[in-house]
Order: sequence, then structure tokens, then C-alpha cells
Amino acid sequence: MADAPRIGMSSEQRMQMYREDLNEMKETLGRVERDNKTEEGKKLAIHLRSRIAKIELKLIEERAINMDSDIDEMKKG
Amino acid sequence: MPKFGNRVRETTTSVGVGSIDLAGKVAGFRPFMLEFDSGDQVYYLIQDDSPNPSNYEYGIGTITAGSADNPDSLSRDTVEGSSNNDELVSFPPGRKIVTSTPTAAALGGVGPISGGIITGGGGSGGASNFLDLLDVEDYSTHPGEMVVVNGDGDGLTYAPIPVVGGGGGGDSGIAIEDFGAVAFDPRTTNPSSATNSGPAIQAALQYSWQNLVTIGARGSFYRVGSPISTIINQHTYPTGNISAGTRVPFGLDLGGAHLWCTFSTASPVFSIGANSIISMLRLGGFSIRGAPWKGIYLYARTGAPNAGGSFVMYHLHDISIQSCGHVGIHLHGEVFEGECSHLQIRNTGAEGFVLEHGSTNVLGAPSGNSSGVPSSNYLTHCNISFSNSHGVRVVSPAADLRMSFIDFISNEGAAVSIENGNPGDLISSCHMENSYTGTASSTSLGHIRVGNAVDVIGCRFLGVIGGARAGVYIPSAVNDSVMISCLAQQSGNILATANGTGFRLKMIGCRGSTGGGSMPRDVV
Repeated sequence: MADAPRIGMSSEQRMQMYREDLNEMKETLGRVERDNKTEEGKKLAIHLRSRIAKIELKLIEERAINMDSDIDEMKKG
Repeated sequence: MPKFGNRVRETTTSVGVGSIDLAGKVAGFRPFMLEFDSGDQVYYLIQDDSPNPSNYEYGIGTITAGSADNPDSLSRDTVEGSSNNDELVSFPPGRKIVTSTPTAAALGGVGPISGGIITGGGGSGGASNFLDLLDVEDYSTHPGEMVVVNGDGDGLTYAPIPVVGGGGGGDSGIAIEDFGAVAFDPRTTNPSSATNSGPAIQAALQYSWQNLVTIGARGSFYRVGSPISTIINQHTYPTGNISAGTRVPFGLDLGGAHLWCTFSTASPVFSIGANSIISMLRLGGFSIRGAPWKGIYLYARTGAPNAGGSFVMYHLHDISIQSCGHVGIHLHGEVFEGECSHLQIRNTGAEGFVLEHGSTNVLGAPSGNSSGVPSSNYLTHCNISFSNSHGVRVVSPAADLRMSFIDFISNEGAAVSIENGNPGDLISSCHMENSYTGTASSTSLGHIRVGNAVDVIGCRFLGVIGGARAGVYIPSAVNDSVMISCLAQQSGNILATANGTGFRLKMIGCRGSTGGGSMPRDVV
């Protein structure tokens, strides 16, 4: 992670975008889990949770690169 | 029927509410008794002799001839309207003007103007309306039509409003509101409680191809509580003086509307199937938010009336798709000679944009009956970012996808993945940044993963995360491709191949720099 190149947007901008993505995907996931109890709905929910996990991972990666103190706190937590 | 005459005007000085004496013609006009006979009923208008008369009265009266001692007179029998709440006016002293003129009711019954809408009926002598304009209710029940023949007041005849030129921003004057869509304000209304405009938008889309019109929107936010799905058979619309399938623009051009999805099924927001050769579909001018599955899915159908459906000369434009659960835009089957422009696709659960051969169906197409090979499609002026896979994926053997002026940022796969066997693709003037290409064992190791005959011109590659890093990665032997004036920064080599060889690949004026980037060699 540490050697991953980051060009273009600032880290703060990227994290903000990830947070917005996360909120929207969680909103969609919540709706699917609530309203679609079919097998299709369950598969869709798994798919959305996977996507959410990836975004969360990206958010963590971003912090790992730019906010060492946050990493320490997360390790403690 | 009461009479009226041309240029008949006299003065009077009578007061009160009784009959008035006619005191002689106004200069340049004619007296009543020269036009009418004593005892005739006539239409009249009496008003103050003033530029701004405050007293007026009109209706039906009776003319009585005078004598040597008495002037001609007019009785005021029926008052149709007046400055005294439509009752007899008690005229004050002073000169008044009396004119022979028909009232509106005499001309067929045009009633009062109310709320800006002219309503019909009401005239005492009017058995039928001679004029009837569409009101709001008419328009909602007959969208896109106008009254062409007025009946007897019991029924109207409608015909489509002619569309000249067509296309663009709902030039037809029809909006999705005319089909029942209701805009809402997300600042004051919970989207989940807003009217579901999905069925209305679907009805508008169906109406558009059946009536050759492009339909717009009047509001900003619309809740889509159910998927919008239609199968177009453009060869079934009424032909008249034009042949079936005539190329006339149709579709939705929503002028910046926001489609706020609240359904929860694995269905595209827009699912449009071609059941015939569909030409000049326009779809755009909107953003999609919260789609649980695909954003837009266009698919050509097999077994269609014309031995296989197809989209040709289509235009997807000015569309923003953010945070959808699967592919942002998926074109499947015989989709050709069309253009996708000014798209913003972000945070998709699969690829951002997919062009797929009809028989493959590898991407979860709900219908599974697409056919044909896409070709000659243009993708330009777009931003495709943060997808869960490739930014653009061309599934073999689609051909001739031309991409230009596209920003690819932080896609989980390659910015562009063109599978082997896709001849004639062109990528020019694109910026590809931070593509996450997985581990070294991944088959996607570059911003661009190319197949055969792909031309890459004037592109810039910045940073590839993970894997062996390369601007362009060639997974297998590649035929007849060229790479001109490209720059890779922090991407490792500008070119990498799976087996270290390329086949008839020319690189001209390319450069790798910064972060160990280097140009490996010309491969010819």
C-alpha cells in the first residue's frame, strides 16, 4: 500500500468521495435487505456488501498512507 | 334573433334605469332608426362618453320610433353584463354613447375567462361552442395532442401535435408529467414517500417511440420506485405517409432531471429491448442515483419481427450514474453506429461501461436473448471512475469501439479492457489514473488491456496500483496494433506483455517516466 502511487485528487478529496460512495451504497443495501427477501435479493445484498467492503478497504488504505495516527488508533480499537 | 347593424351609434343623456332616449347619431355614424324598424330587438352597448368609462351596460333591447314630440327610444329588456354586477345600471347625468354591437354570447357562446383558461359554453344563444381550447385536464388525458375538430360540446376530436424537426429537450412540448410523473423536493419530502414516477416514465418512453416524439421533464427530482422496462418495435407504429421505421428522433431528453431509485430488485433502471431495427433513440439529460443493479441496459433481441433487433444511430448523452450495484451502462448485442457522450459514471458494482457481444451474456443480462455483434460505437467526453471492475470492458468479439476524451480514475480493474478478437478499436486522448490492476497473477495488469488491432494515441497513464504495472498490457500475442505519443508516469513500463512478445505492434513516440517507468523497446 505504502508504495502505491497517488496522483490527481488529494487524499482528503478521495476520502470524501469514498465516504459519499459508502453512504449511498449502504443506503441501497439497507433498502434491498428490507424490501427484497427473495433469493435474488439475498444475492444482490451479498454483492452490495462486497462492494461496500471494498470501498471501506479503500478508505482504510487512504488513511494508512496519509494518517499513521489513525492506523494506530484503529489497531488499538 | 336580436339584430345588430354596422356603424350604428347615437348619444343619450337619459338617467336612471329606464328606457333611454336616442339623442342623435355620433358624427360619422348612423342612427338606429335608419338601420332598424320600430319594435325590432337589438343588441346594444351603453357606456359613458369617456376614454375610461366607469358605467357600462350591454344586452338586448327594443327600438321604438319617436314622434314629432318624442325622440326615438331604446328599452333595456335583457342585461347580459354591466358595471353594476350585470344588473341594470342607474346612469348618472351626462352624455353616454349607445352602440349597436353583438355580445359575445351572440357569436356562439364564448364564456368568461377564468384562471387563464377559456372555457366553453354559457351563451344563451349558443347551442354549441365555436371555440374550445385544451385545458389542463384535456392535456393530461391527451398528451401530445391537440383539438382539431370541435364537436357539439359533448365530445372533442384529437390528433397528435405535429413534430417538426424533433429531438432535443422535449421539443414536442410533452413532459413525463403528462403521463403522471410527479416531481418532488428532496429538501422537504422524504424520497421514499414521493410519488413513484417509474410507471409514468415508462409510459412516456413507450409513447415516444409509438408517436415519434422526444419527451422532456418539467421538474428536477423524481422517485423511481419500479424499474423502467420496455421493448421497442419501431416497425409497428402507424405509418401513414411515412414508411415503417422512418428515422425520427424519439426517446427521453429530461433536461437534467434526477432519478432517485427506491426499488430493490436486481433490475436495470432502464431496460430497453430492440424488437426491430431501432433508429435514433435519444436517451439522456438525467442522473441516476441509488440503482441496486444496472443503470441502463440496451439489448437487441433475437426472434424479433425483423429477424433480430438492433439499435442503430442511438444517442445516450448527458447521463450521470453514481453508486449503482452493477454495470453502469451495458450495451448488449447488435448495437451499432451510435454514440455515448458526456457520461459520468462513478462507483459502480461492476464495470462502468460494457459493450458485449450478443450471444455471450456473461454479465448477468436479465433477458438473456441478445443477439448480434456491436460495432462502430463511439464513447466520448466521459468520466468513468471508481468502478468495481474495468472502467470500460469490450467483451469479445465486439468491434470498432472508438473512445476519446475520457477520464478513467481509480477503477478496480483496467481503465479499458478490450478482450482479444476485437478489431478496430481506437483509444485516443484519454487520461487513465490509478487503475487498480490486482496482483501479479492477475490477467489485468495495465491501464489498457488490449486484444487485436487496437490503436492507442495520445493517452496518459498515471500510476497503476499493484501487479507488474504497465500503461498497456498485452495478455497474448497482438496483431496489427499501434501506440503513438503516449506517456506513462509511475506506471512502470509503458508496455508489458504476458509472454514478452508482441506481433506487429508499432510504438511511436511513447515515453515512460517517473517512478521507474521506461520504454522497453519498439515491438514490430
